[in-house]
Amino acid sequence: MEFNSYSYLLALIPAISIFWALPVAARRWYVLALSLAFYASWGLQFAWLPLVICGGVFWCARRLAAEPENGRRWLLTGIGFVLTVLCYFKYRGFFIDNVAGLLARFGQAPAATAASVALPLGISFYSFEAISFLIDSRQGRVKNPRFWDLALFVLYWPHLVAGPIVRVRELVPQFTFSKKFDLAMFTLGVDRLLWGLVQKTVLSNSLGGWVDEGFLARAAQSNTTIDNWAMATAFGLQIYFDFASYSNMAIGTARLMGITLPENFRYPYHAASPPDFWARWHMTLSRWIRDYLFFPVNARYQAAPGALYASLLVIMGLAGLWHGAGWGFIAWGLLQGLWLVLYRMWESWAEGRAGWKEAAWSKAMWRLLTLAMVITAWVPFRASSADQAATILGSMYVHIKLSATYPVNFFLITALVAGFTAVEPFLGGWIERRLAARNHLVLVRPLLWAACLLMFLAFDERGAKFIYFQF
Amino acid sequence: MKHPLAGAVAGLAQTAALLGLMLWARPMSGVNALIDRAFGVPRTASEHIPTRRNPDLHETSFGENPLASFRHLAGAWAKHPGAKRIVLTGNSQLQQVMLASDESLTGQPELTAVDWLAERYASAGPKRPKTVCYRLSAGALSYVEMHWMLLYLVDHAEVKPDVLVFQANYQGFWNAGLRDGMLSLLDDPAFAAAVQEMARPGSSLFAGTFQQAIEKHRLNQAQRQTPGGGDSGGGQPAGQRLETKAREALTSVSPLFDHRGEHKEDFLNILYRGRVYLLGLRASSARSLSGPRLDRSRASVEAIAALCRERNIRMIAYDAPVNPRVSLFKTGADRAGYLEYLARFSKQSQVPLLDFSTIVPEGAWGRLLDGPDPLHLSRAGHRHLADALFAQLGERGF
Repeated sequence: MEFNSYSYLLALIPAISIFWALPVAARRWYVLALSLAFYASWGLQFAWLPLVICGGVFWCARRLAAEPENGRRWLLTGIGFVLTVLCYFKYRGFFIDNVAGLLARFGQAPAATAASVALPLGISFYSFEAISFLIDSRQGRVKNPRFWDLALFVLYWPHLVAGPIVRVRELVPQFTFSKKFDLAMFTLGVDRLLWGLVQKTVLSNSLGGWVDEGFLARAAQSNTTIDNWAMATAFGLQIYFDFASYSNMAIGTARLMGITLPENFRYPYHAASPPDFWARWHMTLSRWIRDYLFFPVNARYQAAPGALYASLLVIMGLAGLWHGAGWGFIAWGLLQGLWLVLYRMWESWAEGRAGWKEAAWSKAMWRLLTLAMVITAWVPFRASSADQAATILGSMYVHIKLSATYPVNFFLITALVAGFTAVEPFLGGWIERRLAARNHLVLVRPLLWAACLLMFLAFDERGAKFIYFQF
Repeated sequence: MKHPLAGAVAGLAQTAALLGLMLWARPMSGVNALIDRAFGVPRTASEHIPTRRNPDLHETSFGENPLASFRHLAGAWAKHPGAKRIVLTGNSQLQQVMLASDESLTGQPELTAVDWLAERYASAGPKRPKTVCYRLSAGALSYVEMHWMLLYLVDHAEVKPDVLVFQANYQGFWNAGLRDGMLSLLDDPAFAAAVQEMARPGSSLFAGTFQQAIEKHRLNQAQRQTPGGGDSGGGQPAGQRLETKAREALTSVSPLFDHRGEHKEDFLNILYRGRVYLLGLRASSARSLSGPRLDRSRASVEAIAALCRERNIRMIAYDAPVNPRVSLFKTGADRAGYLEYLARFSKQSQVPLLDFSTIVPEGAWGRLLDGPDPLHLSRAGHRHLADALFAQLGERGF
């Protein structure tokens, strides 16, 4: 059951009504049952998997609490268990194919080829949440864990399939569900849910068809420089609105139950620098990487020369691999790492020159560079092969051809969505201020809600999947 | 509201009522009408002129469900064994009528060139050999789509044409995609096998488009059967079943639900008017063609000719009529390149090429929002085209 479906929207009304009608003590069981049903609605094949992961992680966390002297061992066992499951489903084929390719290069026939294994929905997301539960347990941030707390933390349906990636301490304390129904929270929830629907059906989907065409196997060879820049920009916008829409709908759904999920996007294309982009893009993944990978790695190796740069590259490469089992994702992560390294180098260099860092020209330059860098990095992420990515990047930077071969509508729609992205924070802020003054539940807000629903109805495409579901 | 729950219920109830009102009143259609009035557009230039729809004679889904149309056609042609079958294919020029300044609405559906042509053959008398016509057209039909549909026709004896009348049109080379409705043909196993063969990577310039269509269709089918990472039971997952039920329920509650696509059309028309009035980018704006779309279109045109040759179908091409008041070519080189390509194609493929570009006089063209229509013929224009086609095809149907 997808968020952008009629069945979900129609089922949500009775589901939320019953939630508020139930006694507080029954709500957590009700939400857990709904979460399991939600996950099973995608298919029964892997409905057991999140519970198995929770079971393994909970057992390790209990051992960890019981034997603090062996804490490190139980932590690594638990992380190893989760990563083994993740690797089996997500990276097994990629690993075997690459080893086979390598063997073939040296004239050795591969012993076996990977049989394809279906990817359980949301596995990358709930695996990371399970790992964070273990690390937080080890570091004393989770006290006296209970299995059903962990299960609900991992399975809570608004964030189960595609995030936001939550922390134990920000979600589990809210699972008392003891808040009273609050009209402001409810209206904000509906706002986010319906705005997410519009972002997905109108903004993201209207670019999807063009992007698919631009990245067709042989299209890249005859695309011009302008075509490829526009195509990469269109994909950047498509994936932003696709993923931000899911996050909005997740946050909106949770708010209807009085639960606050962390924000995942903050106008990323307004970033002033590469680190600022990562403070705005998939923020819950960024902080996961920062807290559970970057800080520990950097703390251990900070004395080594170039450690910061090396750790940035490696960690961002791993972040790329988290997105998908493919070299294109790894290249995307490495490019993002490279932009972060270049920015750090610039910072250290500019620090010795008075006023350079704060100068208007340097700020403007980094805004533009960040945008160009982010758009460039989307190319290997979206391309269907390394050859295609190389051809497109070559056309964007080396073999310059200043003509446009796609219909004017493609460029106009991309420009329109890009223009909207440019004014989005100002427009969003203005609407929020206007609506925050009062709940406006007479006419104004219902009119906006009805308009959003009308756009959803008009543009609805059954089967338009969220891009991040494949991760 | 003092009670928060009552406030929420009241807010949702107002939303439902307002949504119903919007679905019924089509506010974006009103916006379009206001824009047209502000820019002084005559009613006939923006109004949809109804044309005759006859599934024996026309592909009435306009590319949105050709499989159903072709299955109907098989039944229609079965009633005329031994008749010569002519398929006329092209873009919206074949299916739309835009009234000229001296024409007015009659309240009756208008006839298009293919209707007139079919009437000519029907009135030829019982002594003449029977000839049946079929219009295979869609708005902005691409040559990739034309090839796609032809692949179906040639593989099914009951709808295989004897003659293909091919409309060559500069605008036709602008598009090179396949609309989702065309995927329905993949439900036919023979067609799916033929397309799969042509979708092999690197086999042609349009192989990628075919491959993408096959993948999309596979995804759609998987959603209908075993979506969401698979269902071990082999049945449809609960989420998909619920969605199907929800859609059925909404349709039964209100017919407005089924017409929701019209709101998208209205919204896109607002954007189109913005493009025309604010940016001056008209349907008739001249442009140059190059790049992958042109390459794919040309490859498809050549594949159509090869397919006709292979399957013993007579193919005749004509350079479509163009409004003498509008040139769609940005430069002289664009025009020369287009004509040179058609001449080369005709020679290499041994397909007769007729020059119909000037057969429709200046007064027999419709008008668009912002000026002369570069593509769509008036009532009289369709008769001119039918006459020219009949003169070339002859009473025996070529």
